[in-house]
Amino acid sequence: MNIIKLKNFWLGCFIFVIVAGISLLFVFKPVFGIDFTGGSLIEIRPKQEVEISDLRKKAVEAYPNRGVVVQSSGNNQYIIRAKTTEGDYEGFKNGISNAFPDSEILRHENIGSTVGRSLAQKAIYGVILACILIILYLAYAFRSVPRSISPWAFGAVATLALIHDLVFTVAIYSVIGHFLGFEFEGITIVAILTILGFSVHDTIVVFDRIRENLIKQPQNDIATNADKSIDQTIARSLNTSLTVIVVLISMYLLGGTTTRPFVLALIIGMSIGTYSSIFIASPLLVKYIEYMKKKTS
Amino acid sequence: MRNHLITLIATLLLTIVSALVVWPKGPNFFSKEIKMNLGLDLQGGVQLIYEIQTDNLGDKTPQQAQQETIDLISRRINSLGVSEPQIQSTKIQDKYGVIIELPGIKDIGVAKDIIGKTAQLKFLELDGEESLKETGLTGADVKKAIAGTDQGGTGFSAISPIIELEFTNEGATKFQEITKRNINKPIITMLDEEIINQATVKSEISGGKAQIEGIETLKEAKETAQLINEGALPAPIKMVQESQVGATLGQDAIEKSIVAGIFGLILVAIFMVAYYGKLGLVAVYALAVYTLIVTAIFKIIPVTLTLAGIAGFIFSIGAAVDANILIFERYKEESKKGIERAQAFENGFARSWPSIRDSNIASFITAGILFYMSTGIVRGFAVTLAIGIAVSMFTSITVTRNVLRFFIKSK
Repeated sequence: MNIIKLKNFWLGCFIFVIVAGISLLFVFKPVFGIDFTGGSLIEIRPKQEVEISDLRKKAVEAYPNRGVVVQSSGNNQYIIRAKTTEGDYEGFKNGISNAFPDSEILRHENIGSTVGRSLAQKAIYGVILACILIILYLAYAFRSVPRSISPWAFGAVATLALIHDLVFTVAIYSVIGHFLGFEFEGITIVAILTILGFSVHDTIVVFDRIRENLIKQPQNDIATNADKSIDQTIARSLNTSLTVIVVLISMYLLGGTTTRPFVLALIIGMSIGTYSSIFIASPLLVKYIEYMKKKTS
Repeated sequence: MRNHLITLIATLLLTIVSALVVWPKGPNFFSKEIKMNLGLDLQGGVQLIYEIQTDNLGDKTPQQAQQETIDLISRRINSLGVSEPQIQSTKIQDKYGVIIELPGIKDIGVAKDIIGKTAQLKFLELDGEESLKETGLTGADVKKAIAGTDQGGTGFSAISPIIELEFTNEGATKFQEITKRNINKPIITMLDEEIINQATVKSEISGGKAQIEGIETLKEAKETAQLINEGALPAPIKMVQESQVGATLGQDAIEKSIVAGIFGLILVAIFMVAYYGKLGLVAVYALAVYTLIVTAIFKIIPVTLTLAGIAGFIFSIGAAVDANILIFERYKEESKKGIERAQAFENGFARSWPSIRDSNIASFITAGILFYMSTGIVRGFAVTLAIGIAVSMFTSITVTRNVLRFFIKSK
């Protein structure tokens, strides 16, 4: 395959995805769940089948003007969320249980706003720290590449590909979430961090091959070696992703509604991660190395 | 050849031991059944997070206050009779806090009442005509509080619940002085900023005993007495998060996840065999060994399994399959060069190792950061992911390699 030959095209795709992703985030603003904003959630199962619109009307009446949101969570089960603050947890719970006296309360959650901010902060620090350590590790693992190529290039490009994957995932999740009512919850952060791991994992397999080819065939330039490496690893990339995505799809369809948003985020991330490890990471690496060469000579 | 046989047998033994640990109610070799530890989202229960208000601690450090709070809450919870409660320290941004997990409990109200009380007992006296001031006598001066009934009551309520307080020597002296200077004036008893008793002093009281009257039920008297006996929290606490999951919801989630997991694994197995033939069978065997060992480790450590944890586990299956795919693809490549089979396998293993190592170390780094930086759901995910990756490296290298070596060489 001649992926590297079209490296400028792939670079364009890379920039397009990032710009389009960020623009989409402005249009379909991510909706943050109570894990981040603080608030309350009650999941109920009414004794008799009810219409969601009736339930919504009753819930808003029971607890007006507090952004009450009602969502179906499967088999005659409903999640009712509200932007409560520390003082009115009991008021919300009592309001809802009085409005639906025959319902079984399956789950009940109150989250203070400081807890939410703390989670968001930890997640952001976690992603940044993970990126830094991965760059450091890759620089160390790729220290044996020929002198003319900086080992730092591999870590830096892997991180760029990672950012690409994360922007895409967050944007598409926001768009789909907009229509299916999925919010960003604590568990979505887990999904994003998983994608981070998988994206790097996938890119490293290709880069490892480039390293091997660079050492074995120093007479070939980076572009030739990179193309060869993509050819040699593409079957593996597709097979692995396919198996993981098969497991994920089975989880999406059979694993119950609670985990569905989480699994959706993973499916988006895995797909883009596979694409970027083949079409983005290596062309970007070649581009970067050639640019550095031109600069030094 | 002999070495290979020994490793093969060792792996087989490990598999059997793992299977015995995993098997829910199999032969009882371990004197008791080893149970899987399930998180609150799977088995149902209550989680409460409190923030400790560390503004007025005096000479205590926030860490000391946190430890004392944990100890005291543990004692209070023990009186509730919850099985396997978990009380842990946490930090919410820069504030100190406590996470309390009570599996299987249904009535969140009772738990909150007992845990949330600071239980600061204070005695106040009049300061001038209107305002009150603290006397310096507090719950710390109480040696013992006993709930009882006052049968000497007159009028219609013949039996009224009371709490008898017995002061320490120092407390008795303080109490005597306070009563002396307050004859015909009221002394007010407050528990957590709430007036629980008000009595007018008739005469100076020596002997270090006092009574709190006017309590509505004997049960309430008993609970209050217990709170006073256990002592006050070093600082007031504020609830910042509460969640309650019913057992039915958790049961539903775990059943569905297991079905989805098994179904997914079967699909992976079909794919591997269809694509790689006999090699695929070896991979499926390695995958089965992998699943058994990981589950056994979860049970032995034990790892508290949550929904996020199950996700981490399923993700690590991906890593395990990936290692096998890397090895097989490399073997195919080496065979195409015309290298003889056994050697092609050895090359395949040796050359795919750097990829397996580097990619898994990157995943380890992520898992490590997640574990270190976070609590709750994210941490559960990090633990299962890390264990899964470690075991997957072992099974894909040791199990796949030895089974293949054994079959190739014995031909």
